Amino acid sequence: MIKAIEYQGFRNLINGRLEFARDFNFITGENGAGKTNLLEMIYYAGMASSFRAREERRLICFGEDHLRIDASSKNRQGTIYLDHTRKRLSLQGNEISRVTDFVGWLGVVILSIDDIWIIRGSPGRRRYFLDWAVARISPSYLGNLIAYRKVLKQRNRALQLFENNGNVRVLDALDEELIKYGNRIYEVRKDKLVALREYYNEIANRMGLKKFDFSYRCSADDMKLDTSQLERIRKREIALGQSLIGPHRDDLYFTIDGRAMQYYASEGEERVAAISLKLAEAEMYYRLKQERPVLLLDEVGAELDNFKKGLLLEQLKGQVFYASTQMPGFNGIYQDRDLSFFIIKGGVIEVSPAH
Amino acid sequence: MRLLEELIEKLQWLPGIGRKSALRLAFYLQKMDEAKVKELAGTIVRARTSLKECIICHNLTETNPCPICTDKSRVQDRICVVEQPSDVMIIERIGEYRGLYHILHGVISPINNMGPKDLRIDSLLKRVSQNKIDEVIIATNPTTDGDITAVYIAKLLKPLNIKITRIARGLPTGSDIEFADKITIAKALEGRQEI
Repeated sequence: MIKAIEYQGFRNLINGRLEFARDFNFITGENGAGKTNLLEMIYYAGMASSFRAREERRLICFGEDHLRIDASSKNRQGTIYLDHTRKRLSLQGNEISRVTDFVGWLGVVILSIDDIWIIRGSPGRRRYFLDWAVARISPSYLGNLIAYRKVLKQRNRALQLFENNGNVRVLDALDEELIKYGNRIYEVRKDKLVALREYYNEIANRMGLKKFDFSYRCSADDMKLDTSQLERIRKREIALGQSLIGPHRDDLYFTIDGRAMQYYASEGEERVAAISLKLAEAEMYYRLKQERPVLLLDEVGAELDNFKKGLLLEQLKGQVFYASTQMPGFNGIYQDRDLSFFIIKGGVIEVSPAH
Repeated sequence: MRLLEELIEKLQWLPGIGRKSALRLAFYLQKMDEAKVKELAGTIVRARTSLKECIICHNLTETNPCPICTDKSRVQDRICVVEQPSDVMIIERIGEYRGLYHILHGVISPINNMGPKDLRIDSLLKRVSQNKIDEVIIATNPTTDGDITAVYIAKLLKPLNIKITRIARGLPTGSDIEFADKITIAKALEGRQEI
């Protein structure tokens, strides 16, 4: 839970300090006023990266030379300083040298309208979701993923060069490293996917009328790489100059009433699936860390009908930031809870008296 | 000013030297004692022309074979394989290791077009099979390429039936788990040993 944030030079937001409600924070304002920027800032405070800016320096307000964010939870405090040459992170006032040690001091999960692309988009999009959902609760997973990608790059290159001056032993060595890191990734994925699927099914089936589910499509036999499998496909891999099996080729297959979601689901159902997946990620985080992540919702309700919007609100647990041009109908869900309302106008954030 | 510009330009041939550092060095050299500058230039040229690769271990040396390879007091049946001559200097400064070395001059990296042929691997194989070697310690860096190279060498030497080891990685001695970063702790757990 984030209690307060103090900020300078972040995007279009005018420097200031905000205190948040424990349960529900509603953020409103016209398009372009800065609603998403506020959510992005909270996400950035916890993850030290943005969910939309490729280039981090873009987060610095145009015309400023640095940004600074001090965020505090109940008993922790994280600070990020960024200018055009360096980035400094600290926790409780102590400088942190590795980003991986900073990430996760404040758990955050962002739900946005673009999440529908996890369901609709390419397999890469789904792997990206899965990898980050797992990486945030398992630092060794991230390390293995980075190592796996490096080996993969070298291996693809070695496969492409093989015809000219190939060396079978180099491929053997690369295979061994690919198997080592690939299987470590598989071990963790296997374990976490069981939990993720369970929560997904629970949440989606509470929100939708049909049966939502997903399965894991694995390019390797039984989610395990070994030399015999790689030997079998080596000729094809050399011909294509690409590594054909492993965690980087797998996919999540979403179904509705047992049929492929891509072909048989309505847009509303795809949205329910995307939201449920993100909430399942939050639940997975909670079960492992015993602490609810902050939920950031960016116009998520906008595309849902009122009934579904109500169901969505019922599923939200922990501290919520809800950005929208429209106030959601609460139907008593947030009675006697701690609520705050923020209005953003041209980058200025004002606390408004409760509605 | 043409000469000065040329100096600044050429100093940037060195790794880690950008325009700014080159500028600083160039002006510093002008302030230095002329004799000192000549001494520096002379040493650079002499080192470059008289240092050669040792015919046995491929370390840089003035005498061939190098002083380490000819030192009979060193353990003769143990070879430590490293990436660069600078790695030898680091290990030697610690003074704990008394065996021999073999310098690869790089690592296997298909992306950079570096294969086993570009490294001193053939001579390692010959050296190990022709001499009575008991143990080969592979001390390439704990990077992806260093690991690939280590696996490659281990596979290559395996038929010779000798002890092949890889240097351990993990927590620095005297450090507290509390202060180590997450990836290091994960690696240290992975490489745990029975006591």
